[in-house]
Amino acid sequence: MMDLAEAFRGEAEDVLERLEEALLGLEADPSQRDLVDAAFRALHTLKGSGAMAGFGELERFAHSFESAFDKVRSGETRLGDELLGLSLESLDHLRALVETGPGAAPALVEQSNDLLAKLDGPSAVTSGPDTKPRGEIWGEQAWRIDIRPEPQLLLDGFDPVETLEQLAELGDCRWRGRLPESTPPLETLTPGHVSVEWSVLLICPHGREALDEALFFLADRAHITIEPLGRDVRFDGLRALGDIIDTHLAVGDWAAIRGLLCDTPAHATLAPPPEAAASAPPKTAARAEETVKVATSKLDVMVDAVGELVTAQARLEEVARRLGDRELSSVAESLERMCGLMRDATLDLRMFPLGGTFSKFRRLVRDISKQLGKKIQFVSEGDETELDKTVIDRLSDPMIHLIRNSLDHGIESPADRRAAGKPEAGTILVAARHAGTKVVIEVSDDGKGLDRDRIREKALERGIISKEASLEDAEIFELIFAPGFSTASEVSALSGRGVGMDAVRAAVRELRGEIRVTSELGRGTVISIELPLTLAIIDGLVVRLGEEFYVMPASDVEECIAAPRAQPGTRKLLQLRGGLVPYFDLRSWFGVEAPEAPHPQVIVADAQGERFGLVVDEVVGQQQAVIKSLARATEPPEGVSGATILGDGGVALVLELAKLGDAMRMAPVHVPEASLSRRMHP
Amino acid sequence: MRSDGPSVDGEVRTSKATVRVEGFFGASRAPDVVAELLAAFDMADEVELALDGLSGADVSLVQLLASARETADQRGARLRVVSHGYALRQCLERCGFTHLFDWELLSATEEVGYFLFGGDE
Repeated sequence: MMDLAEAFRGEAEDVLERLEEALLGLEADPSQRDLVDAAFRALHTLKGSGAMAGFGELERFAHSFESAFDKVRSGETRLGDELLGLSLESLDHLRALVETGPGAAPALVEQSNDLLAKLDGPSAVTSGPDTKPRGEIWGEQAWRIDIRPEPQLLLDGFDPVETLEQLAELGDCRWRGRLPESTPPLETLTPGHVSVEWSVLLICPHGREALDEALFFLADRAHITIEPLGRDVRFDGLRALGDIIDTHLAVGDWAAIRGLLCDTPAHATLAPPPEAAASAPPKTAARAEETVKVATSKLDVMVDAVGELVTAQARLEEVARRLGDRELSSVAESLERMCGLMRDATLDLRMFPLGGTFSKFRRLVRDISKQLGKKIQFVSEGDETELDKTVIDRLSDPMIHLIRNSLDHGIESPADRRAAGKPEAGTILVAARHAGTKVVIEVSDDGKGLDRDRIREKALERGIISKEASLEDAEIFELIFAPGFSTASEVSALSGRGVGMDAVRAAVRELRGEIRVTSELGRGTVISIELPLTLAIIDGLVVRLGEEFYVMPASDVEECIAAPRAQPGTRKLLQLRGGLVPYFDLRSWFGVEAPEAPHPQVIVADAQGERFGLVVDEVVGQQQAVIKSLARATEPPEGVSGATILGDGGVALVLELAKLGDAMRMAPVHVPEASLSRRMHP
Repeated sequence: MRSDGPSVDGEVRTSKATVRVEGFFGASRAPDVVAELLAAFDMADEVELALDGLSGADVSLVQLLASARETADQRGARLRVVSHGYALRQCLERCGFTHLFDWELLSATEEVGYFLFGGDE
């Protein structure tokens, strides 16, 4: 079981991300009241749950930080650059306190004090949100408020009754708690979870805004419905209404009949709690689906187990086929369907939206652009696009490198942009979208673009290309991924060390992805990364070379055709529907010495946007392949990304087609082959 | 803040077990006290939850009491909640539960109602 501190760390990470997002949003537009509220709420959450987990120093710091933001909310302090800068520094400090754990080192405490002293000081330079609303109204208004807190609330350090007490400050107020209809015995009770719901009756001279303010901290941690009962409610009716709530009756009709309420809309608005819950306001509707946090290590175990299950199922299918047993085959088919469902559901558990990673880039862009004295706005699109958690984690560093490159080399200084007739502020756009079984992520900027001549010149200097090489623009841009290539005239702390882009491509390829670049001089650059949705299990095409079997991702395979007659060399060209497609002999590549098959086939693949063929002895069929890493001691042949177990228990190597394609492009060209007839689609 | 854990008077199954809770009772203490109460119900037919040393509580105490009552009902055991101070009453009032305990929770065992609102003081 996770201990309290560990659980808090997991939660704090999310809360700090929300806080960062709010602060960066406020930097762009300090008048956004909802972002001030979001920051305030995040700090309050951190304070409460930090206290519960025993992070005393964090609680102290978050409390004072929260107070500083409360002054912003009340209009006492205006939100300026200074306070926002300090807030971001304080956010980093909170991260350090979370990382350190319950016992903060004296140096961190000292840092807390320094920051808090500064947070006390700054005053405003720009316009801020309106002052705290109270929403005074004429006369008295009666309200019914139903509150169903999140179960976790108390364990996160929130006492929902404190909110009820805040409501009571607004006027005449009483509330009733309700236990669930079926009370669990101690054996099944989840200790510490809140299962109580409250109904509140309030008569006050305030409008809805005042209620929202009092309910502020509960707003995103509870399902809340607020029903106006009517104005000019007689005070002596309050107790009677309270009694009605006690007995859980529908109070609307009853109260109206008894003349306790004057306004006719009361009939419509007074509904018993279950109906009120059904008409939840949009703000709280998203909370309807409860979520559970699970350690990724547990998900990894589950994915591994499903992988084994898929392998066992393939084995069963093979045995059933070999024995020719119909009943067994039927069981194997049912199992296959269930395995497919389970595989999809399990892999889906690992899917996370990219937005969380994108929001980190926003801060990166903010900090580095300030450092460089450039004006750069960060825009993200497709934040909701989901990708496997492992892929997201491993993608973060390469993407940071790409963004740093854009910041450092892509976007021009404000003066240069003015001179070029561009707006002073540049833009970096990170966009994600689904494309079939893949996800495409683009990092683009509206900077100066890649200089074709300069890249070529540099590649010549470094011996990457020969003087005679005739290259298209796309091929020249590809050179930036060559090892050791750099066009930066000065090495900066951010990028330009010439070790970046090849490492970025290697990292993307390790994820079975591909990276491409397009650019227009003076207009900007787009770097596009294409990734598989998941790494663990793929739909594979099984092929045979001699006695050995290989698996390639079916999503990269376009079609299979009969191979042309044998030609010398490793690289050849075939004509396919009017176009030339280079193809490569896999037997030569892997050094297979067994006698050649009588009817070899060519797998036509599309990897990194390049079509090419691979000659194999036989296409065996399709199979779900659970990809296993090769032992560290084993240096895998180039173009092999792992291994998998086949239905008969044998092992097959999993091919990485993009790498094979690269190898093919390096080989000498031979004469085009005659056109070929298509035989089958995989 | 202290929870003594169940103490047993005598060694037979019908003996009384007492779980004592002192200081502030909040969500973070609930797992320990639940475990102690379960142990107490396992060893005795009469369980006393001694809250006379309670200084304050949040709503998790209300849930604990309701669940303890349910357990007692299911096992045919007797639950006694002993409180000499105002902390329990304050908690029930603050959480909006006085009414429910009067009519539902406390009626499950006569002793609970008797002790709850100072009858024993």
